[in-house]
Amino acid sequence: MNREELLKLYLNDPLFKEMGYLREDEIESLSWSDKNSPPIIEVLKSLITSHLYHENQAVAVRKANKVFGGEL
Amino acid sequence: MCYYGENEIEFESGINVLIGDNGYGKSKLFDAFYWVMYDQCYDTSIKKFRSTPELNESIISDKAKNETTEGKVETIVSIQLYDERNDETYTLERVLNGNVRDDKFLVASNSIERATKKSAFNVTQVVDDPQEIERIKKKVLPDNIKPYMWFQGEEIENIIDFRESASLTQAINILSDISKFDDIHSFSIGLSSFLQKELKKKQNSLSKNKTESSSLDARINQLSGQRYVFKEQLDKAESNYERAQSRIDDLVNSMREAEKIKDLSYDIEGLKKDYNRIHEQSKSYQIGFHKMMFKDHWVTKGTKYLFEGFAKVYSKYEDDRLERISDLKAKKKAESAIEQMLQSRLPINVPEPIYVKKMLETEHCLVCDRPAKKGSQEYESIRRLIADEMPKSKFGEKISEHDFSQTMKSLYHSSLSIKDKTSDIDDRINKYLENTQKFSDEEEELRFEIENKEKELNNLVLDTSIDINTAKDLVNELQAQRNYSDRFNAEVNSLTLKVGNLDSQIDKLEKEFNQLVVGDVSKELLLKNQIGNDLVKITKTTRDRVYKSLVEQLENEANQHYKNMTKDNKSARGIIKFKEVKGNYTPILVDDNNEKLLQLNTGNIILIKLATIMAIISARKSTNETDLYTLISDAPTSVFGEDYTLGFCKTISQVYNQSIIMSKEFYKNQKLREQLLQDPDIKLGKVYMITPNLDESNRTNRKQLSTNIKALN
Repeated sequence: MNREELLKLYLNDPLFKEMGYLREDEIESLSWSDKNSPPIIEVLKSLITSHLYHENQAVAVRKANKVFGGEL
Repeated sequence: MCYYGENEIEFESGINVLIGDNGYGKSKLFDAFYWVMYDQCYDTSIKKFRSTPELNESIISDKAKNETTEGKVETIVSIQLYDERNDETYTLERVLNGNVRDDKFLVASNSIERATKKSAFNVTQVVDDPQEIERIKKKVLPDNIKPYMWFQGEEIENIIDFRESASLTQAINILSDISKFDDIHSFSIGLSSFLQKELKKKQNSLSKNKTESSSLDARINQLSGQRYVFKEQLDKAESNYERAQSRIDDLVNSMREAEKIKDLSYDIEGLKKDYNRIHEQSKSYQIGFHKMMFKDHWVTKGTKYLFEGFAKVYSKYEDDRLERISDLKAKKKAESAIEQMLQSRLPINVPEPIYVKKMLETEHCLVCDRPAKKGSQEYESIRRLIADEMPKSKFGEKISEHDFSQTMKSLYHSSLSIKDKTSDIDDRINKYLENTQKFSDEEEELRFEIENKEKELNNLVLDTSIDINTAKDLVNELQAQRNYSDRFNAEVNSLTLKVGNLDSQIDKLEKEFNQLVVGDVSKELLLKNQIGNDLVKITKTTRDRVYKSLVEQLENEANQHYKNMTKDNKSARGIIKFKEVKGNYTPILVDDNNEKLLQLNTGNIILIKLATIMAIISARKSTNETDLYTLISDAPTSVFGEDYTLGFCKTISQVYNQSIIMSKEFYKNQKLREQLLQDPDIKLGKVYMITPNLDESNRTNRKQLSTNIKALN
């Protein structure tokens, strides 16, 4: 399962819509390479990448936290 | 062991089958794989793997030892593996050296491990580094996958423990890619925790009473720690409670089955007693039947005409006889009349005998007063008066030569008493035969009933694996499980209360902590926290959703494999269902109405386990990862009978890219072997027949023993 497929699986979670992060049409059109996705998606992408690179939790947390720095 | 000289076996993709009877050396080939990889062999006598130092010289061929008078005896097992993905070939080798010196055999205490690697460019290099050898071995078969890919038939039962709800979950986790989602969820928890700490730190810095805030924060952390511990205990207690309850359900149902078995067994005993009683009665009736031939004159059946005939003969005989008597009388009467007419002497007894004697003494007739000299006609006439020597009638006294009158009369009288009894002989015989038939029918009925009950009992015992003796154990276990259930339930209640109390305390302290904060925490920080918390929820629900869908997919796959494996068998099959218990899944078998099928037999349980593992493997097939590993199993079909063997092979060949199985079923059943070789649905690799070089009577002579391997395709 590649990162795109993994991300799609997460995006299919109804909570994204319920919590108001994304609309239905945004969910469908969103892809890994999109640069303008909401911060929560960027953080999620960071966590997925850390997993794919077999990084440990401390590294994954630090990298994800860095995403906030740039986005918020 | 039993292999001598050089033996080479080549395997292909698909299912490879090594066929041989018990004791022919199949398991030793399984051992060969295992020995190379793990320096151990399976000891069937203790059902454990033993290492080379424990096995010692038993690894080496007895024939080789026997034939070597002096020098080295070497046991080498070499496995060559081709990695399709990287176009690399690995050779793993294990060697055990022995030596014969002065008629003594000495063996090295440890084996030697060797490995080579041949790259795609055909460059072969020796792998010296033990760690690199280990890495290659892990590549051949990772430790966590090993139990599901390499197993002995008798180990299958332990692969997934149906009583342990986490067991299937563990198998799914190992063999599926659900761990990706667990990892990401775990990362999100770490991130959320980090962000919370950051927020707390900020809030603390904005507190109007920093000491109080620090104290509250410390207290919150302390209580959260306690809550975590209690929550863990609560989850465990809930899981234990669920398990005990589930076991109680099973046992209650088992008890029903056990009761049924007990009742059936008592019924059979009673029926057998009845049968024996009826059988004895029937037997004595049979004996009585023969006695009745004479006792009840059945032997005279059909002789009525003889009685009538005899009566006629007797009647005629008597008539003739009376006629003859009458004739005789008449003749005698006529003769007497003639005699009277010719009478020349006195009538008989006149004169009286004393006077007659006197006349004879005096030789003088007193009637006519004349002399009657001795010897004279007159004297003779006087003498005849007392000598009763009247001239005999010429007709005699007899009416016939033989007189059967009395005999015939006696027979006739006897026949009269028998004749009365002969008249209803057929009715009596029929009545007797009816009774005999009645006994026979009753016997047959009882025998049929006993057979049916015994069949029912056998099926029940087979299906439930309960015999009468185990019923008692079930009662004890049920009591023990009820005690556990009560205890776990009490624990759950107590821990739920504790967790609830801690939640209230933490909430209260959080409020107090927040009240001390003056000034605003930045929106960004709050948003980060919000995102962190939301990601924890999202990664959890996604993980659960993916897991649920995986379980559904596995359920379908498992049922497909189960159906294929049981295709040639007529026994009740059911549907595999993965029942969720507190986030863990346990395979159960249900009927069409979704009702759990209870007390499955060992064969069923193993098939469910195999179907489940195959489902996990085939679900993972899309990743190509499982295609790297070969399934190796010794006698996997031995526990569920020949009916399942072909279905099993078919399914295995479709699920696993390569599998190697050892089987005796194909040895004993030639038809099955032919089907294996010809069935187009079986993706067949190589098939070998393994036989010892010695015949059955000499096979114990291990000093001459070697093993022949013959390719069948």
